[in-house]
Amino acid sequence: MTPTRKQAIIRRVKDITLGTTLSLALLNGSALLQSCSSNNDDEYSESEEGRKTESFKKGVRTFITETAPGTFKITDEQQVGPERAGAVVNYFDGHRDTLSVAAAQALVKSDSSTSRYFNNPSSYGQHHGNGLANVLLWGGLGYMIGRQFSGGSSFDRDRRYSQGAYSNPSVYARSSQIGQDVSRSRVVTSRPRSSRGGFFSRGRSGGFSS
Amino acid sequence: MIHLKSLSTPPDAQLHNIGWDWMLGTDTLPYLANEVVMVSEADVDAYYNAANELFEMYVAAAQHVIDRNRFAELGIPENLIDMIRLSWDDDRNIHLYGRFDLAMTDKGVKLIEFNADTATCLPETAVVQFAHLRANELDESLQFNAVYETLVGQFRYLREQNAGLDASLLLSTMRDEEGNGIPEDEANVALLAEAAREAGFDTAIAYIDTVEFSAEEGIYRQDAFSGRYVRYDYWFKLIPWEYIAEEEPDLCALLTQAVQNSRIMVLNPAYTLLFQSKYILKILWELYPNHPLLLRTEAEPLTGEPSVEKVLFGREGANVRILEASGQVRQEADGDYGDYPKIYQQYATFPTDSAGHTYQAGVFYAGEPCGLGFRRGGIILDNGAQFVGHVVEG
Repeated sequence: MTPTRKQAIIRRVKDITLGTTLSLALLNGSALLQSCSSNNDDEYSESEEGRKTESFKKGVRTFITETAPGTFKITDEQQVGPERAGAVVNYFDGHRDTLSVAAAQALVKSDSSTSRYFNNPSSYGQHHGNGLANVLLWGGLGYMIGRQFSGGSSFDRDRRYSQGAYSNPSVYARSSQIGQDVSRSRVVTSRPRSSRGGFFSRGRSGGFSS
Repeated sequence: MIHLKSLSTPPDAQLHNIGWDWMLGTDTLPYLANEVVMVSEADVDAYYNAANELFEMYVAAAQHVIDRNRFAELGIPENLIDMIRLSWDDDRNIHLYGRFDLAMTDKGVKLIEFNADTATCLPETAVVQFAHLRANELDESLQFNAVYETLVGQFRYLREQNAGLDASLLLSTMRDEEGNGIPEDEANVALLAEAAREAGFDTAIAYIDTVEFSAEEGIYRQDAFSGRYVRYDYWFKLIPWEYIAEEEPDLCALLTQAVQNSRIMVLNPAYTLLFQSKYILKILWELYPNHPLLLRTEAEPLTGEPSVEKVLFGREGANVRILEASGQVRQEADGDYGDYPKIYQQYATFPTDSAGHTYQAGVFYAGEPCGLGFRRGGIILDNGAQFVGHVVEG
């Protein structure tokens, strides 16, 4: 059973640490979201013995080119150590920029073409753009910035979006392999042994709020 | 008497920043009140202490049900009993969170019920009322609200207690009959996912009908990027246990085996259905008769005093009838749960505001009492009840 942890629970609102993403966005607006994964407990798992968590022991470095003003494509992806993960962006005007995973995540979360999908994949159904946030979300880095999938009937659509983020099919095929390596220990290629799915596929009117 | 404070600036900008605009949609706008309840520090202490004491009483009551094999009285489906015992006997099965519904009466705090399995109102309590304060620059005010950080703590504690599992969490809701998600459910799991992510979990959200279950290998979702299957060792379901047991017995059997094989951790654990069944209110009254936090509850209509008839697994005020001392029906709400057996709970008078609305306190419990919010409505609080935040008076 859950032991009861007693502590002074009432505190001044300004002391509430609502948690990284939520509090930063609430208190300061999205500008400060860049730091949002720094408060994350990823290192927590690796500091403990016997923990098998694959908290990104491998990372992805994505090379992105702005092929026409406002249109971005992934031209290459490499598997790197997590400390080198991120995106290298070559802009149409010739300048180059490097984005950390946290910065990429912040952009995906705040950009209007991706924020909705990121926060609630199942509600996605609107504009699917060619912008930078779009390729960050749908490319191999999406794994590291917390992309979620709506799955099911959206599966083919989601894969199409992923393919669309790459400059050509061979880059996509190569990158798919990297994505799998990043979280390999929990990934299998075929349907799990004697597994079943499709439960509750008839749905239900109304939720289970209580 | 409930005293309200008007907070004229809605938290639109704050909510927009975190992508929670859905809260401001046409369906939900009336659901957010533009005022907050003024709560005294003494009342906050009373709510906090009540939730602490009640949780211990619930644990004792559940132990009693298990020891005396009283599952049938609680309406527990037979095919869930194995999993309930398994989860109860293994301390790694931590109750993630629930919400006590309480009434502040002239005789102190009274327990209405405990939403232990699939409690909602998390975003409203944890985020919206906080954002509402911020929008009105009330940062010096007090609020009994550490829901989010306490959830993060619970997820960390889960990891510590389950070293054999990967810190990977899949969260599932159901779709409606048209195949669409239910925004309120999805917002609740989104908040849980955020808390879990901060505690170091790899998280994903998937509708239950897209999830693959294997007794030997665990729980998987298909990854759209690769087409491969990704395993998740923790699964949170915003789907009631009794509904799984009754509607999808094969899934119930698969989950039982997977839990038995220590492949997965399901949240909330199966034993929370013991807390969720309203028959536990009668068990509590048996074990703690006349306890100051309890309302008398019996399996038959109460004689000589007004009472509330509830179905064992009703939700959001559905299938509730308020009975006069004579047994006459004063008010009733219909719903989908009418087939379940019923219990009768002594009628408690909720506090009201000057407009006559009634207020029910919701106290979240996640290893400890961690936050307060209010629902207001008529005599029966149904799914049209508004959420109202609070400010603690200094």
